[in-house]
Amino acid sequence: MIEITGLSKTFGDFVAVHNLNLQVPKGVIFGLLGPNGSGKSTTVKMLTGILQPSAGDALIEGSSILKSPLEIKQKIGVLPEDLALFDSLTIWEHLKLCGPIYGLSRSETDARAEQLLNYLDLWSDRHTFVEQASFGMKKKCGLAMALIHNPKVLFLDEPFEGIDPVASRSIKDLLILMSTRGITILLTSHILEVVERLVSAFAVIVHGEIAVSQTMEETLQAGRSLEEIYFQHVERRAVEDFEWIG
Amino acid sequence: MDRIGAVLQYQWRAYWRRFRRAGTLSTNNLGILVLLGGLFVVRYLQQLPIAASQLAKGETTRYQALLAVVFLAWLFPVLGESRRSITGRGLLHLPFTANDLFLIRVGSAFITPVSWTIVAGSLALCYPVALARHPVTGILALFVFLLLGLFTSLTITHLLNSALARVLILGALVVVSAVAGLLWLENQTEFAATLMSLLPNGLTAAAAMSSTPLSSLAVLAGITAVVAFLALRTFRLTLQPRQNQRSQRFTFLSLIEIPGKFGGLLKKDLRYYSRLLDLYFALPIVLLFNMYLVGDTAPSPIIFFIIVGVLFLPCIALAFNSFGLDRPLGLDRYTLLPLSDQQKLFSKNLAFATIMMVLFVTILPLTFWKLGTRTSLLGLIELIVVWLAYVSCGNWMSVSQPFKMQFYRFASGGSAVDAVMGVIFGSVPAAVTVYLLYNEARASLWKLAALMLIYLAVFMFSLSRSARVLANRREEIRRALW
Repeated sequence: MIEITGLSKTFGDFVAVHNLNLQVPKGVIFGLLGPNGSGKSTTVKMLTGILQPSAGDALIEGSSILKSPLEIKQKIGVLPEDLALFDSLTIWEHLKLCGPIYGLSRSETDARAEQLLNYLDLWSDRHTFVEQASFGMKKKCGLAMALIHNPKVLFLDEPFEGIDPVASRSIKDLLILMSTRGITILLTSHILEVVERLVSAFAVIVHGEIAVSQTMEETLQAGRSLEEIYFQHVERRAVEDFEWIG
Repeated sequence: MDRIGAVLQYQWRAYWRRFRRAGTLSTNNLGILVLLGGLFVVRYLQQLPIAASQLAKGETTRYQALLAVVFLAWLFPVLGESRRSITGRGLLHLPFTANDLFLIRVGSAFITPVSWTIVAGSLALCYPVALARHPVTGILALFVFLLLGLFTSLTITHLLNSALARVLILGALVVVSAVAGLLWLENQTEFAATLMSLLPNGLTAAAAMSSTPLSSLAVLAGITAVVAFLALRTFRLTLQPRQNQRSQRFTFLSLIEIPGKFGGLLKKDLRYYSRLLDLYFALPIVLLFNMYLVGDTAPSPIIFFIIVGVLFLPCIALAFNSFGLDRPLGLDRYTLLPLSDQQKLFSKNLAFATIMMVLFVTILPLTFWKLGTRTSLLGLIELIVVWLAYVSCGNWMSVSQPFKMQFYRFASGGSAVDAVMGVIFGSVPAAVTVYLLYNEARASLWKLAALMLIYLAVFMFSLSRSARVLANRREEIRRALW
């Protein structure tokens, strides 16, 4: 479960996230949506300990991000926006690096890493150095690292960006399985069709503030789509006539 | 040429933007560094009249030494660059030929103030040559020699992108060190002098002084043409996509598994650390000392204790800037892992210790064989105390003055003054060991053990303080690594 209370982040005069309040119940797949620069990734970074909040707090599985950051890091899995991988390690080495740090034995790490890489279709590429891997491979590597220690809460920043349709489907199936087993998932995405079919609740964040937060059930009962709600809150530019093109 | 000029202009602008971001002359003691650099230049300029008077008398020793200094100095602006924003590969999508890109590469070597200083210092050598027997061929040879220095550094930099070439360069370094060691052990000074005269600085001096100046100039020009061609060819190779290395590339480190919680991080850092060129200055020292231990009938224990301290010097960047090879994304991964800041720093310290142990892996058994158990045990204690001293200082410097380092380049950045202070602090245990053994051989073991306990306490204090700073300065460190 995630409980966010008054979370804010400022960089000098710029307010990236302002007074965010949100609750994500246990076992729910929650979508955090919004345009570029709206504050989604900053929120995820604060929740996962990469950034210190300027104000407010959040409880993840009952632990405060301010008071018990280490305890939280043990419980969560994170796929960051920029993946945070080490250039000169192979995909396999990334997983082998993570396992023992989360307290897994060598054999358990090997077994889980093999299962995850097979599922994500990365097994044959496991000895590829990350600096030479495609973006999709890197993303799947980051995802496997987020999952290997069986986290209670999962934070995924744009998990479907740059992923092929087959892998995207596999990841969706895996996330649904995890949610049925009580794992809470918070994800950000620009791909509204994917999010609509996957999440059970969502919030649209604009200029660092939550514009709307509701469940998919409420949305469907109101006879509306996620896309309609999104564009209701996010401005869209009309197509400009570039005379010099063509 | 306009297009090339435009790229160089933006290259220049990007460099200075990054340079200014470092702050004012007071940041990282930059002002003092400039002052020290200035003093070095003054010292160099003082050598010029001496070289001039020697050349006027037909003696080339000082001139050759100055040429060697200039040649080595040319390696640093290219091999130590960490602020070049626009790379050749980054321009591949623009309508430039490979030769255009090479010209940009050559031009970008002259962006930094260090390069200007080296150019000015190199041109100042015209003064002694003007007094030589053949000033015209001498000055021509000097210009050719300077081009040779630039093209050599470019070729080495390009070659370092290839794993095979790195192995070959390392092999060449080992062979040259071994030959130098053999010549030294066998006292073959005459043969060594003949070899030296065939080196580019010998040929440049010969073009100014010998009876056949034109032939020396022609040989030098020929060598330079070959190296320039190599620089262009190797540059073209750096433009090629590296798809063939994409998968299944095994390294020595990929075959070993390090146990424990930090095993993965340790392995990562060993791979990273082994890619810093500074470290390879230690290899000739290790090789020569091994040859000394094997070849000498009664090697001196004092030299062993000095070598223990000296071998840390090429590796200081690893201790003093332990996050320098991690990109900001790597630092983010450290943040995401459930490790305390103390544990993160300690994993870096362990990696540094492992690198040092690798350097001593042949020396310690040889010392045991040639100098006995007691000396090798004392050396091991000294090694641990010096390590504790360096990491105590290094942890603090790593979090307070981080700077970006690059694979297969020399470390360049940070505060020179603090580095000197760190070296002095780190070398104290080695100096104390040598002093104790020189003056009171019997009691030194216990005194060294006591010294180790003191430094252990200093290390624990430094680890805890630096961890707190790391927690508070994460964003600043991240920015410094861009």
